[in-house]
Amino acid sequence: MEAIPVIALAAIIIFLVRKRKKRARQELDLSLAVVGFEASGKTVYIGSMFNELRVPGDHGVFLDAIPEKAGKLLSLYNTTADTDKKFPDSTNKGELIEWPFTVKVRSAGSVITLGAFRYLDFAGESLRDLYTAAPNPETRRLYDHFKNADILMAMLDGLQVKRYLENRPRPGFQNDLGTLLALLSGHQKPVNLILAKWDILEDQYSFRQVVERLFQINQFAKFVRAQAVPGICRLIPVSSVGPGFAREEGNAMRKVAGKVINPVRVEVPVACALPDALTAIRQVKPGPARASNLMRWAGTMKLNMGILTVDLAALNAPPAASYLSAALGTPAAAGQFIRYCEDRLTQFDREFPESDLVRFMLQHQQGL
Amino acid sequence: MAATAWPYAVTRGENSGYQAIVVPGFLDDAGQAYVLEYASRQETDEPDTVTVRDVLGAAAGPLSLAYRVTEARADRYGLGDDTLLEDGAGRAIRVFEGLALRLPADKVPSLGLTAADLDAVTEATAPAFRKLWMAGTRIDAGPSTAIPVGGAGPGRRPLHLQIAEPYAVPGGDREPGRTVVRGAPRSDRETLPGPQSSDGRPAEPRRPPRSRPVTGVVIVGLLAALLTWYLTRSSGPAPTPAAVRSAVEKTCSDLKSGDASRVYQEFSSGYQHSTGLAAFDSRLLGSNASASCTSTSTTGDQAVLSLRRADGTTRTVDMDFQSESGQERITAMKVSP
Repeated sequence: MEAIPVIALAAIIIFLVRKRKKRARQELDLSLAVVGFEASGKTVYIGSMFNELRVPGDHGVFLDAIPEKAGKLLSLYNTTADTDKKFPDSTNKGELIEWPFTVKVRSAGSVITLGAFRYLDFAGESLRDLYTAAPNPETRRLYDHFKNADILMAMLDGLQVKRYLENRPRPGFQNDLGTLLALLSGHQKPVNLILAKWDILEDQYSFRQVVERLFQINQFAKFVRAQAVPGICRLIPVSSVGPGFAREEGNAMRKVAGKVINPVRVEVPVACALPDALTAIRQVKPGPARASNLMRWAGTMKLNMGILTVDLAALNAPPAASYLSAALGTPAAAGQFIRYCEDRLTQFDREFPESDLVRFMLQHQQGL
Repeated sequence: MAATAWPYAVTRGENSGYQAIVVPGFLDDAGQAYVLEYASRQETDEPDTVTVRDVLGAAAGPLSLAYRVTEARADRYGLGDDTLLEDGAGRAIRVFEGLALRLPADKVPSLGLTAADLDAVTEATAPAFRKLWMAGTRIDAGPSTAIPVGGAGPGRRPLHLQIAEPYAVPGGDREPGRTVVRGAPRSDRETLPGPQSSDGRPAEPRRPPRSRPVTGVVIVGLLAALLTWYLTRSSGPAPTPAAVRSAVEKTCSDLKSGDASRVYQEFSSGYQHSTGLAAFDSRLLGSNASASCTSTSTTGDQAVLSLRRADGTTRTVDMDFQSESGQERITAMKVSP
């Protein structure tokens, strides 16, 4: 009988040690939904984003996909890049596809799988069906997907924004914008807006001009005001093809023969996603299980939620050296990933201070 | 063999999204015109190939679609010269034009459809296309009336048909996706229609209620049993969720391509030792060469696949995973019914 307490104690210790090891292997699984109307650039964006992030840079962060999906994504990118070909076909309603990505972090000694996220590509016109008198079951399924997503983004078509700035908006521009914003408003989740096709705007407008004109749309201003509670709403200008690759010709976009594709900032929306999600769930009451999963994951990874930086003590190395560390545990890799995100965000914020729409609005109200 | 069929078309305008522009009246009456938009997917780049697909769970079943995908040229629709029409983003305008047939897809090849049958669809749907193009915005779909099709005779070249995986109407009685009732022994598990998550995967089943508090003696006994279990269990690491998902995706990909031997290689050496390739092939695919996953769900080191075989029959496959030599291997598989 004397052995029983010892056995019990040993069992508890072994249990706790194994549990801790298991948690250290815990991976994050997020769903990311980018909503946008037809021709806004969702399909071209995903090809360029994957191509940009599939090779690790100095932070060692990169994306992977199963060979079949990776092949399709690269085919999308190659079609986009080839100036002798048209842009990739528009996605029709039956061609909805979910792209699964694995986020990996590379060090000199190992490659750590940090987590996964899924990106849904769909026919943008389905969004209008959400608000028809009798939404069909496919539309309801799509809506549920958005509702259950961990991170929501909206893609604004830079071409349509440009026409609005030129005072010749496409009929239905404001209605569509209202639909997008209404869709995003039903969630207590971080919401970022991707301004696609920035390459055709940047020659004629400053980013500040674009932001100011968008704030002149009442629904847009109201929407940003409402985001003050999660505290985050960014407008991220991206170009999936790069400056000078395409130009407007009449009512259509045309590739410029011989130009080389050079995507700009396509990684920023993804880099913003996790830090913004972590910030937002600190601001709102505990809700869906997904949010608490994210919190639990962040806790396991010892991420400092207060200032959104990694617990550097866990890394045992300064930032620049961590990439060269011999081996990384998952928490350290998570830290490396968060630091990558932060660096990209800091740089982005420096280049586009007006991109933080909530901050811009508050400063504007205070006359700064 | 000749039959009757209803022309339909799904396409988009220069600045308006995809929509059905010509719809069989019986589908419109049933409020299911949308199935044409969702069931018409481009499966091939071969211009002369016609895709044939079952629509499962349609109110007016059985129903199948036989369609081709073309890039719209202005002259085809009486809109000018042979210029390729483009949308506002400089992309070709695809037209999904085809026939709705009130019979199963596997009966379509015996009809002897010819190019003339689909040319008749173009003729029947061209006015609606013109209307959409000129309107610059979404239009109300027009009704189609049945036409005689098939019966290819001498000199009329039959079409090259490709049977694609079926489309299941959401909420229809043939929609894939079933929830495994857990808690029972694996051999006794039954499957019930269950709720689905947004991406079509079965929702997590509820956990059974917790048991009442137990006495200290029972706790000590359990801890001792726990210790024994920890000391005696295999030390192989549990696979990570992402690794299981990745392995499931690979399995589905191999099944779709009909490479059963590659799927077999994804099983553990223990499984392969106890089950030969032929028995495995027969258990999983029956007499079919391939199958497609209509939904998958993973929980920890387990996965549930809803499988649709090439002959249209469905199976639910339960799999257990374990790491073996650094790779995720399937250690057990149960195929039901």
